[in-house]
Amino acid sequence: MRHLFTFSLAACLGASVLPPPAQAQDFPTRPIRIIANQSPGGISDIFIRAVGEELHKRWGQPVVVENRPGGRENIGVRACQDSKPDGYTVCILYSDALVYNPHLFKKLPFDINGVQPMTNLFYILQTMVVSADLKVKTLDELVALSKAKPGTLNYTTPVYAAVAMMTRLEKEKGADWVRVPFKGGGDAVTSILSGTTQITIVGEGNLTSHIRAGKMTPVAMVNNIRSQNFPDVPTLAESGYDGPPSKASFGLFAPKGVSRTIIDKYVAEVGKIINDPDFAAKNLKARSLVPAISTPEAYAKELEKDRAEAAQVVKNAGLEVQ
Amino acid sequence: MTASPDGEHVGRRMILRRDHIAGGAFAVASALVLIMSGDLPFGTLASPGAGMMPKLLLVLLIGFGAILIVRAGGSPPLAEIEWNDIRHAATVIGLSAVATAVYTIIGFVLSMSLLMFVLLYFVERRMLWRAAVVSVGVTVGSYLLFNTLLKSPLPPMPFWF
Amino acid sequence: METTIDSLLLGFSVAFQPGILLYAFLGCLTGTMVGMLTGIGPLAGISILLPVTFGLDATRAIVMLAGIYYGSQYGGSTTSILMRIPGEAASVMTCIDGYAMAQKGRAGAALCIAAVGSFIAGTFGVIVLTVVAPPLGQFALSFGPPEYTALLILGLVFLAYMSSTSLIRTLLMAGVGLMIGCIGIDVMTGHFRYAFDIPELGDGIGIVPVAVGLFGLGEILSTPSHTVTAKVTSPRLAELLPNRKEWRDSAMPIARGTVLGFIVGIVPGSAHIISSFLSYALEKRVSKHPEEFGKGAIAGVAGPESANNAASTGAFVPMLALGIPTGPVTAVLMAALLIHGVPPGPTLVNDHPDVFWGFIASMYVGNLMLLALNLPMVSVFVNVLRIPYSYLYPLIIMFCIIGVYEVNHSIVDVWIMLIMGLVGYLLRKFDFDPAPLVLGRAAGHIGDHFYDEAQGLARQARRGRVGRSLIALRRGPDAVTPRAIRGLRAWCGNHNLAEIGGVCPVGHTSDFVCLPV
Repeated sequence: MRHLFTFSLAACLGASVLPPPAQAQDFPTRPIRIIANQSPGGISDIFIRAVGEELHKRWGQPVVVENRPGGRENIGVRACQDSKPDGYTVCILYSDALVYNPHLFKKLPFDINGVQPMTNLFYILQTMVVSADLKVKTLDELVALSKAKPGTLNYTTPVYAAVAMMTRLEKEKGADWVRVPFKGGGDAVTSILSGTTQITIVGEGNLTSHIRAGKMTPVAMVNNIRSQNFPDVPTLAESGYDGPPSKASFGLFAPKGVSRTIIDKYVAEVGKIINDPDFAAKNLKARSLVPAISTPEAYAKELEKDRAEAAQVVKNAGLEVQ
Repeated sequence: MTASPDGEHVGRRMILRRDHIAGGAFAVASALVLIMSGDLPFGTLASPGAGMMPKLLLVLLIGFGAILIVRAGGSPPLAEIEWNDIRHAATVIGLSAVATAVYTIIGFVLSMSLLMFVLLYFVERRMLWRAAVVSVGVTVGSYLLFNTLLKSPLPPMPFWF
Repeated sequence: METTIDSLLLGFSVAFQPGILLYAFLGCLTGTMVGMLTGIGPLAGISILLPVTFGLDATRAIVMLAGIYYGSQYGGSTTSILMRIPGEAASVMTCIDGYAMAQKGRAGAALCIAAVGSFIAGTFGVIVLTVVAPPLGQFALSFGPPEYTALLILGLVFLAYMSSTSLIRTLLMAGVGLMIGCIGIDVMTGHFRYAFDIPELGDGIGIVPVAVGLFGLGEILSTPSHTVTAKVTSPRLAELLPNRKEWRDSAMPIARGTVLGFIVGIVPGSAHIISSFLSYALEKRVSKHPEEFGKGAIAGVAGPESANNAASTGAFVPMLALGIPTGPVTAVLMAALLIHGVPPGPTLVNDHPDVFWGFIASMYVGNLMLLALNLPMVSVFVNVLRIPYSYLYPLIIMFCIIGVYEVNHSIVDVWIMLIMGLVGYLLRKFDFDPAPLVLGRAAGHIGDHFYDEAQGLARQARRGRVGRSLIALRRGPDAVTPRAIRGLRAWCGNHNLAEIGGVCPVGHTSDFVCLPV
């Protein structure tokens, strides 16, 4: 026992004082770990596993995805920040965790600057749909209907910006609806089909087949990006709403301190993967995700701007700070 | 649950019984949690606050605990509960706690093989080489299985991967 | 009817292509493995293997991925019976009588009955799926919050039958379970409850650490190795199999569990996890020997295991008929279809009959494969019990730790498991049964399902418009239920749920699932 212990202790110490073997030029020389702040099966989880397969093919090193869900996405960010900045751990994070959570939590369990943005990856196309039974086609008609039949409409959404919009429409145009808590895209669809909820604003991937089957009517694109599947649906801005749109992006991050060479290598390679037409068709377009590769600087700036807007959204939507 | 025969006989006098302790523990614990939840808003019936259900539930639990105490007469005396396994339980939970504390620091393989080795060699007094082979073999095997084949990572050692 | 048979024949012609058969087999094999290994549930198993299917066509991919899903339900009973570790909430009931049977030397019989029950339930589910999926889909839609309330109340009424201890003890346990469910954010008001600024507690305590701690670790703590008398058994094959009495005793439980599980499984949402609890309570209620439950009654294995499997097949109904995922697993399967260029939804059966019917037919084949795969493995698995206990229990502790850690890669979950192990040890000393506690924890999630309406209704009520609520109008006499809902809503819901899946906090992204955040 004592021998074993001494041996492992020695091995432990010996190894920890060795210089880091990898140089930025021949990166990577060992397997890569990607932290995702969603559970297995989540949007970003499915996506990043596909990217991981591609990276494995191109770089010759296996990629393991480690799911760190929970704590309102905060745990994943904290796990990212706490990992070793040697480039062998990168993270795919939902931007809301960095954009909205600083406004929503009094005690944030991570430091906003503890992770460095590498590149945006994709936006989730958020679509506002109403039950086809309502027979409305535009946002204005919907507002009018809610006034004509008060107390009959409720909506559900996970998108803070959409809550702010709906609240503003209530205040400014006298719309009448009630927000019910969001419990997942599947539930949102079910409750529209069964008539318990009339309006929902969720990722378009949930809705495509039901819109095509004529059960739901798309009213507006909440990201202010037109949809490829339903090109006739106007954006929020085109519907006359000037508030901040939903961003809902997923980006690639690294713990602070990763060398610039390695970051550039990731951004270039992941960019190539996402811009590959076959990959994009399967993993992004089919799932109503909009590719959005950028640069570390541009993405950092975008997040900064979104964070400023988020303060306004949180106030307008009347969200409670924890 | 079933009162032992002599338990019934001794039971006439005021003896500390199993359910006195159990009911008391639940009631006290619930009361403590109730005090802790003072800042949760109770709300009104029409619009319940976050604290309504937990508080109602806690009051119910205190009530249940009280009922248990009142009806404790049928339960066996506290002294009849055998605690001969407590050493084992304390050893196992203590060692597991130590292993958990260092789990993410020194990694899965080291922490778990040490835990198994200590349990096998020191607690169960198995042969040294067997204990060592089993503990190291099983943990390294599981590590490889989960990390490479199943791609669901276990905490690595600090100096390896 | 004729068209159904024609279509099914088309399906079989697809399913029997050697390529498809191979992938069905691979899926079933992986699924069995995933089910047996604690920590990697079907959800993680499918997600991890999804990229592997990118090179395949849609039929092969979905056949293989679905094989993982229902295959894992077969494997799930193994650790419950042999080691008393519930891999997921649905296996908790199997731990009780399955493990008791194993201690009496009937592990082989328990494993066999679990496999056969799963086979019957799975096959029955597929037959119903083949014949009446579309109307059943509509039934699933009509299952709204009032019906959930009814289901929840049914579950609570059944509580009394679940445990062998007195009613007051059962209620205490259920209450504690509900209290544990209160930890974390309250969806309705957004308040954190009992989270103590620990971010991991923000989304609540999962079912897996609670169940594994109470059952798996709790058992080990109260079983010192010197108390275990080594049974040197070398059972012959005939002794492994259930005897005639055991077959007879499990026939009806399998039948009841199958029907019950299928109905509960159709319901969108997370109700399916209580299918095994309901089945266990039902069997105990109708049994002529309810006192045997908890001490190795085979009906207590047969019923819940069948219910569990029927529920997982039933979950395909809303997905195939309506394009609605019932939980995270079906949601990932839908995402897989999308990635392969086949949009799931009501039009699937017309647009891609080969995928649809090939998938259905492969489930008939897959269930047969699983039976053929699992029965011979029984004789391998019972050998686990021949490992001396002093070697076995350190192994079990390791599996408990892996199993709990791997769900969220969270060390806090492991701590919770250890605490629950200690609690389980004390509960046993004071003669409490932990099963109702787990049910209480699980019921908290079902409570979530009436959150949304409850919230809307409550606000509308405040505006004096409760009668105008669409639900109230639509359901007429049921309009009273909103009040019940409102009362019950605070049955604590919060959201974590890698284990059963499903609820997302506001601010969460939305694809099909609420990714158990």
